[in-house]
Amino acid sequence: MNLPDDKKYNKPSALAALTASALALPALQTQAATAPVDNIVSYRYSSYMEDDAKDSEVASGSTKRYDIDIQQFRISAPVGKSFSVSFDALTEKMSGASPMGTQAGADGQPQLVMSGASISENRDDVTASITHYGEKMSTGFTAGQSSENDYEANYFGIDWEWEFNQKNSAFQIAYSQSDDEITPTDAVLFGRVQRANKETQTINLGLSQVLSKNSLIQYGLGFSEDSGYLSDPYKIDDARPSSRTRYTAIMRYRHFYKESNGALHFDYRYYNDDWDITSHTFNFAWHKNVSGKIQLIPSFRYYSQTEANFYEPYKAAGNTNPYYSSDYRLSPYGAISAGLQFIHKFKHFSYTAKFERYESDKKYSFEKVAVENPGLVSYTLITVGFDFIF
Amino acid sequence: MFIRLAFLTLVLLTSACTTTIQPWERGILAKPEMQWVNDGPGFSLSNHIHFSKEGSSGGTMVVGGGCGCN
Repeated sequence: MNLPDDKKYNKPSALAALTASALALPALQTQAATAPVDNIVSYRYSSYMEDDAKDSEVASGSTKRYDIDIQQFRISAPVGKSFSVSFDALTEKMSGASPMGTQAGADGQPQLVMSGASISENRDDVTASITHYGEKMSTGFTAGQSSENDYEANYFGIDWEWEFNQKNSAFQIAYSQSDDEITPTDAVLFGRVQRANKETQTINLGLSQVLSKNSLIQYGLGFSEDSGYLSDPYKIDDARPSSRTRYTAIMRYRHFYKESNGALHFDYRYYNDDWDITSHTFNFAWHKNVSGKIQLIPSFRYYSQTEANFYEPYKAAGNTNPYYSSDYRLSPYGAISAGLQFIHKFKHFSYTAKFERYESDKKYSFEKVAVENPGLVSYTLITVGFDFIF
Repeated sequence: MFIRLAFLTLVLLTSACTTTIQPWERGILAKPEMQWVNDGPGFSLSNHIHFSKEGSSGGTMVVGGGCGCN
C-alpha cells in the first residue's frame, strides 16, 4: 500500500524494520507486525484485456477473449493499541469467450475450440481480517468468501509471527483452507458434472532477516494439498486426478540505494507439484523516489513452467490415459511481463496509476517446447486508484 | 524432513552472515518502499490473475479461495 506521508513510517521503531519483514499477514501482506496507527481507505479500478485469439488458430467459436472490469475496496484500522482489523471487497465483471478444448488442424497443429462470446459473469469476493500484536508475537485470523453464479469458495487462514535476535529475525507460520463448490451452468444440457467440491489446505513457513541498515531478506517454504474435483467442467474431455500436492520455495530481497534514492525489489519462487509441473518465477522492481511526493516503479517479471504429465496439445485417437487435459495452463510455456506504476502523494491522499503488459509464448520457456498451445494468454492491465489515510 | 533441513540450513546461513542492527539504525528499513509489499490491492490482483491464468501458484501466504476462472 502506498502511504502518503513517509514521516509517519520513518519512526525508528524497533519493530518497524522487521515488521517490514512480516511475511505476511494473510490477505493484506502490507501491514507491519507493529499495530498500525492510521485508518486507511483504498480504492482501485482495473481494466484487464486479453488479446483476441488468432483466426488461424480457432477451429470454432468466438475469437474474442476475456475483458474484465475489476473494482477493489479496502479499509484497515487500528482497534485499541494492540489490534487491527481490515475489510476487503472485490467485484469483477467478465465478458468474452474462453477455450473449451483443442483439436488437430489440417497441418497437424492444435486448433482452439472456443466458447461463444456471450459469456458474461460476475465474481464478488469479501475478506475480513483481525490481527493481535504482542510484544514479540503477532497473531492474525482471516476469513472470506468468493462467489460466482457457478462457483463458491469459503476460506479462512490463521498466521503467527515470532520476532527474535533483538528483532533482527522473525519466523512466520501460516495455515489456510478453502472449501469450494462448483455448480456448472447448463450441466444437464452438455453432460457436465452437476455439483462438485474441492478442498485446498496450505501451510507456509517463513524466515525474515535484517541483513544491514538498508537490506532485508526473506525465505519461505510452502506446502499445499488440493483434493476433490480438480477438472474443468467447461473443457471438452477434461479429466484430472482428484488430488494435487504442491511445494513452493521463495526468496525475497530488498535493498535501498541512498545515492539513487530508490529501493530494489527482487523476488524468486520455485514451484513443483505431483502433476510434474515445475516453474520458476522472477520479479524485479525498482521503487524510485523522483521527489518527496512522486514515485515511479518500473517492474519486470519472468515466468516459465513445464507441462503436466497428462497434458496433450489435443486428444489423439487411441489415447487411453484415464487423465487428459489440453488446458493451456497445464502446457509448457514461458511468459514475460513489464509494468510501470506512477504514485503521487498529496496531503492525506496517494494517487496511483499502473500499466502492465503480459505476454506468454513457447519461445519464453526455459525448456524447448515442441508444440505451443494456441490458448496461451497475453493481456494488458491498466489500474488507477487512491489511498486515503486519516 | 527435507523441508525442515532446508529451513534450518537457511536459518544458519542467514544468521551467520549478518550483524545486529539496532532499532535506531532502521529508519531506511522502515520506508514504505522497503516493505515486502507496498501496494496491497495491486499485489492481491496480480496474484489472482497469475493464479487463474498460470499452471502454478502459491508462495505468497495470501489467503483466498479458488475461482471458476476460465
